[in-house]
Amino acid sequence: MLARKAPKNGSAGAAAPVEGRDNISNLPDGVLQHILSFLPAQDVVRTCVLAKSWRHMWESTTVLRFVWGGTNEPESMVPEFVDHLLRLRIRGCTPLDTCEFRLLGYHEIDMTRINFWIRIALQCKVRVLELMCWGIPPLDDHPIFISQYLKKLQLAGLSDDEMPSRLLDFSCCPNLEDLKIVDCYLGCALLISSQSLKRLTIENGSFGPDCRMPICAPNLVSLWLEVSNGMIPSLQRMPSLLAAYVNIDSDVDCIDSDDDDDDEDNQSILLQGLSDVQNLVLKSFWTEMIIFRRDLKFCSSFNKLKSLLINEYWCEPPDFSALACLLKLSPVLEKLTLQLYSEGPEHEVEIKLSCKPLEMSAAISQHLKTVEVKCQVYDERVRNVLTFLSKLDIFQRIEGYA
Amino acid sequence: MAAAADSSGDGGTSSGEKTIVLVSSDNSARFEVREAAALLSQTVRRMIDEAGADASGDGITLPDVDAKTLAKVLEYCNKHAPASSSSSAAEAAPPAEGEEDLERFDREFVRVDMGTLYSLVTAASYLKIEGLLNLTCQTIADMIKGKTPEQIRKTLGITSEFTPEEEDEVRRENAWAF
Repeated sequence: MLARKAPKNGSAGAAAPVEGRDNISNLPDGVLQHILSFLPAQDVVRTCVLAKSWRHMWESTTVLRFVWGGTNEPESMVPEFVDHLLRLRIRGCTPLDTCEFRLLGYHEIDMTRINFWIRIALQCKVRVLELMCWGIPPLDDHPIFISQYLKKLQLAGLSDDEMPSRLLDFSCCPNLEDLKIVDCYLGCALLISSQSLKRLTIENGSFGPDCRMPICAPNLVSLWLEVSNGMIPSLQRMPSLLAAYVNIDSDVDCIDSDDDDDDEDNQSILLQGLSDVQNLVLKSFWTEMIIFRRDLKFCSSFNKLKSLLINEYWCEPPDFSALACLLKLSPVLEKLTLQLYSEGPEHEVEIKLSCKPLEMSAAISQHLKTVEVKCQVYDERVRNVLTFLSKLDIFQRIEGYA
Repeated sequence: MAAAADSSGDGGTSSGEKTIVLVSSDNSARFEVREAAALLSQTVRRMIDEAGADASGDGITLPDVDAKTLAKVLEYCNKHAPASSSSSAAEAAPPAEGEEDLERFDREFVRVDMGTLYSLVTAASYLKIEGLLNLTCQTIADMIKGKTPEQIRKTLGITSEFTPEEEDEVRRENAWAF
């Protein structure tokens, strides 16, 4: 997408033509704007002194990045600079494409001011907004996301427990498609809700310890969910979902208490919501985590699932019942990957097995072509898994070596 | 360290994968590349769509890319192309394996003189190869970030054309940024 040409200011005079392939100023304006879009806002404005042709280029930039702290920033940015720049934007009425606020390390930045800046960015019809603030004291004031232009939002490092409960209710952002939440404490949020959302990423998510948070994103296409702490959220049905990665590290849902929440009886928490997916990763660090296994009782089959990656949680001897159940629920599965006791991305041992189910069996997909096993050591635990699989009568030949 | 036995083919033409011929602007060089690599360019993708079934083995001429630059661009595309032409949009996330390898490749790839870098960024823009455009633009941006105007002019080969008085005027005009 090419940005508009930099406005020609009559008083700047015509720049003398510059010779030579080496001269950056010969690049098309769209490319120059793209280069500027990688720079912190201060560097962008300062390009005005580089040469005559650069004098007003910064004025057309649609990407503003405000970065404080970190070892790469030689000096900290003064809040008045941000005030001034945003004031110019509002006056100039040029829409913003991207606005980033990144605070690395502790700074004496008043969060109320940052929220004020975010409101201005939203007023400038910003499409991509990134707020990343690790190491700041708890917020007194929180951003409120109301915008028909906002398409992509990234929040990182919001770890206070005073967040407004409706912070992640995006019914006032009817065009939001991408949401990425990193290193945030989500315990205060009532729910995550968006009709328009297509991609949701939650990295290192800390959820509340007592309440299960619903995630309502019925038009989601791609999901990345890491639950590091707290109660595993519940997923509502996502019929358009193509790919999902779910990794549970939290130990909260490990106890099978007798007084289960009534609402949760006979209802799936995770798996039913994922049942339309094509590519799926399901991992849990704790074998005691009950949600995956419990959900198997309440979910329908994965009718579109082609590729599945699971870890050792599913392969509990002696009967491997969770694995068996999962396979039965995946009638069109083509590729199964077992990542056993090995985090990756490198694995010491990788075994690839070619499959051809010998007879029509309800136990396993007739389309299954490959089973891959990735582990650190080919030990008895891994052997037991393979023995179980071989009883399903699917292997033609084994290739692979340690 | 393990090596996975890969029985799914080496991704080359031996598995019958389609190739596309790209021709440089001066007609001096023809390159046959895997379709998956060529399609990293949205421009090439559009040209193929427009040519339709009539696309012959004559290849696609790229009027704005010279041979030397095209060779280098294709080096990038071959490295970054997905293993198969089938859309990898169904992956929840890019595979972690090979990412370090790609990063290393990218770092080496942009260790070139400024002239080549500018040719690459122009070609990436014309060919609409998002990854290459971002890589080259980020590289140039890194030469600007945190540097003084003199340093930037020197590295990027910019002639100021300002008189000292004019430069002062610009600085005063934007004093809030300095």
